[in-house]
Order: sequence, then C-alpha cells, then structure tokens
Amino acid sequence: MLKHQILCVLVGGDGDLMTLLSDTRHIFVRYLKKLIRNPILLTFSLIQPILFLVLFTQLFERFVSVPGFPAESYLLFAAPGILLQNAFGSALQSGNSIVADLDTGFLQKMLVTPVSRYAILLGRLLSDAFRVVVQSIIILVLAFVMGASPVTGIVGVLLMLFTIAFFGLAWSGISLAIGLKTKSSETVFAIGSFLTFPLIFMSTSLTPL
Amino acid sequence: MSNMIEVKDLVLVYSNGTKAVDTVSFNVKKGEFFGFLGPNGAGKSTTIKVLTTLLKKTSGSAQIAGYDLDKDSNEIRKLIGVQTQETAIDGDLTGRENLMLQGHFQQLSGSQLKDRVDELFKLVDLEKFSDKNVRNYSGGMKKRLDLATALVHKPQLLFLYEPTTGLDPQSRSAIWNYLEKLNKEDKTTIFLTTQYMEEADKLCNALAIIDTGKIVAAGTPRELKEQVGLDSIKLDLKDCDKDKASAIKVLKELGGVSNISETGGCLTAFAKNASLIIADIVRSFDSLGIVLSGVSFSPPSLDDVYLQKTGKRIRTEALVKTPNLMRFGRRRR
Repeated sequence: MLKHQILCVLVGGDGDLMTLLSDTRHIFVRYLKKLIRNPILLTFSLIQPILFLVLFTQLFERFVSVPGFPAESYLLFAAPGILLQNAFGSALQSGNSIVADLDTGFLQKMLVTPVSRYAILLGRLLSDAFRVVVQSIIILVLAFVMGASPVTGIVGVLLMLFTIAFFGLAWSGISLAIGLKTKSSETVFAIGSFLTFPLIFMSTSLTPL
Repeated sequence: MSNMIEVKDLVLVYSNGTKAVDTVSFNVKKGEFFGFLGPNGAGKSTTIKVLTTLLKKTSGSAQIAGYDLDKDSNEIRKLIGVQTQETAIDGDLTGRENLMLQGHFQQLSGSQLKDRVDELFKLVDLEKFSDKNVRNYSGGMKKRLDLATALVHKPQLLFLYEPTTGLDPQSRSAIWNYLEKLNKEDKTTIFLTTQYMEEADKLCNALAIIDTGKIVAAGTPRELKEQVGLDSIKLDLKDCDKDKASAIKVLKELGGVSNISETGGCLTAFAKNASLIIADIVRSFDSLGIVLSGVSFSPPSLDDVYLQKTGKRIRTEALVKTPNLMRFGRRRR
C-alpha cells in the first residue's frame, strides 16, 4: 500500500502506475523505431569505440611489459574502459532528441495530452540504456573475437552490462537536462564532447595509473 | 447554453517581462465555432498555450468545461484536442504509427483505437499512405495527418492553429467541410485561429480579435461587420510614394470619407456610401494630376473590421513565423 502511494507521488497527481508504465513503453518503442530507422547514426556511434578497440590495443600493446601492469594484455585492460566510454559518448548525445522534439513541436504535442510527464523522460532514458547495452554487446563480441575472454565469466559480463545500462541512464539524464535547459543541439553536442575526452584521458580507462 | 471556455482577466507575462496577454476576458459557448483572430505576435498563440495547459498563466482565471485550468489540468487534457502551430508529427514514423501513438497518449488501445485510426485515415483521405513514412509526405498531407492526430480521442473541444495555412484550395475546402461537420454533427466546440478572414467568416459563429495582448473586438461576424458599417474604397495610385500625401489631403477635404488607411495597393478610404462619392474622388484626383491605376469598392468585410480594429491588414500568408514563445516561458509539469 505504502509502496503504491510512493509510486503515485512519483507519477504525480492522479496518474496511476499502469499509465506510467504503458506511456513509458510507447515512448520507449517510439525512440527505438527512430533509432533503427537511422542506421547511419547507429553505425557511426559504434565506429569510434571499435576504432579505439582495434587501433589502441595494437598501439599500446607494449604497455604490458611495463612493470606492474595490472592485466595480461592491453586488450583485456582497455576493453572495459572502451565499453564505458561508448556508453558515455552515446548517452551524452541524448539531449539532442529532446531538442529535436522541442523544435518540431512534438514535445508540446505530447504535453497537451494526459500522457504521464515522467514517461516522456523515462521512455527516452530507457531507450538510451537499451541502446548502450546493445552497443556494448557488439563491442564485447568483437573483443572476444580479438582474444579477450572475461575473467569473471558470464556472470561478470551480465553484471558489466547491468552497470553499463545504469551508467548510460545517468549520463543520458544529464544530457537531457542540458538539452531541456539550453534548447540547443549545438550546445548539447559541445558540452558532450567537452566532457567525453578530458574525462577519458584523465581516467584510468586507457592507461593505468 | 453553458460555456465551454470561460476566461476572465487572463494575464500572461513571460519571464523576460513581455506581457503577451493583457487582462483578456472572453467566453466560448458549448458547440460554438469560435474564431480567434489577430496579427502575428498579438498574443494568439500565447493564449492558446495557456488554454491548452502548456503555459502557466500569471493571473486571472480560466475554466474549460467547468474544470479549473490550474487544478484540473489533467482532466482538461483528456477532453481537448490540439493542433499546434508547428506540424508536429514524427517524420521517422509512419502515418499510422503517429496516429496510434497519439491514441496511446490519450489512453486508447486495442481494436477501439485501430478502428478509430482507420476511420481518421479515410476522413483526411490518406488511406493509401497510412503505412508510408511521414518524412515522404507532402506539406499538405502532413497538415492533414496533424489534424487527424488532434482528433483521435474525439475531443469535446478542438483547438486549431491555422489549420489551412499552406494548403491547396481542394484540401482547404475539404478541411472546411469536415470542420463544419464536426461542429454541427458531433457538437465539437472549435477554437480556431486563422490568418484568412474569409475562413473565419465562413466557419465561425463567434469571433474575437486580439491585438497587442488585448481583445479589441468581439461578436458574431455579422455584428462586427455592422459595427464597421462603412464601405471600403480601394485606391491604387500609379505612383503611390509621390502622390500619397496629396491624395490623403484631398480625401480628408472631401465630405463623406470617414477614415483612411494605408494598405498594400496604396490607400483604402472608408465611407458610408461609396457609390456616391467615388466620382468626386476620381474628379479631384484628376484635377491634381494624381493618376489612378485602379479603383474598387466593396461593402464591409471581415477584413475591414480587422483593419479598423487592429490598424493593419492581416497578411494573407503567414510569411513571418512568430518566434517560439514557449522558449521563454515556464512550462507546466
């Protein structure tokens, strides 16, 4: 009962949980359809991590010989970092979608219907999480083909994908907030790129400390 | 007959200080076809945004079908259909997917929604294109689909923002017929904004004209035309820039001309009985060497009402898109 009340508060006013769920599902499906129908976008957002995976692992292969390197091969070391970087980069462009919906008036059109306001954001966030998980699976398969097998086994992989989903969710939320606040896709893009690169090179995703 | 919309002393001030709607009051009766007219930037779209729960009003009160705009916004959203200023359909989806999605937003589902969607495609004559990507639709087809999305849940109150702008004459008259049917047979109350005075004259049984945020005239089209009560005489001067000043002087000296305004052709004079003084005007112009390239006169039209009330002739085409004011406004939850 209490749980239901809390959810009702979350849903806002008289909206009920079923409405939230079904609205979220419809908006989630809408974004998935949009994504699938724009294969160029999907391809190009995958090219960068794949380049990183193929090129960097060849380039920095010799890192392994540095005393104290924490993995057996550079590929093993870098693959998880590249996965997160992919999630990060893809999710940070999410704000563009809301800017596009604002510009075309689609957002206003949703807002004049009784659609759950939370579903509008939640549907988008979930579609982003889904997208980064699918992209991650592709990268993982590629890494596997290149000779990296996860030390932690299938459970480790699932946990990894689970973490990545939430990572994507969080950053796509930040990007949506930027999009809603600035209402400019150029700004979303600029802030997205500005955040991506320094954070990658400041982190230990590609080089050990 | 009770009121569908009741607006009293409505004020909306944007966060940048612009007072877009300034103490506006009007009522729209149930079943009425109401025309809301005004030049670009007069406050039309802002008023619609307030009434469709997109913007929060600054002060005043507004009720739709007895529901309070602030407290019962979700109830209001269930009974209104809105065709927005932008043709807001998703280009990546098919026509059917767009309609189904709007139906889902209105909590419709199953065969009820499917049947309704088929019915709407027939209505807007897009049956053949229902499963085509909307990106490939022509402008007119998009506009018709957009109208259909506003109707998916059979709204009691329909807001239309320039529904026929940019349409060819066939589509326009098809939409007019449909809207009249919707209003007469289904008793849908329609709130229409348009740039076309003939459209308002043909369809609406009540009108309000808004300019710089205030209602400057209201009534039935006939009442408004009677208020103006003057014939308009359109005077096209061959050299408008050179002769305008002297022409205005002559017209002012002539008895019977009660008002002069500058319009596209050059000048429009208003007089009680145009046929009697038109000869005088031509003679006086002739004696001063002012060359006319055309003269015509007509009984009062809605255009004249509009012109007199707002001081500018409405553009027949919306050449200038009003800025998306929502960007400055506060959006509701």
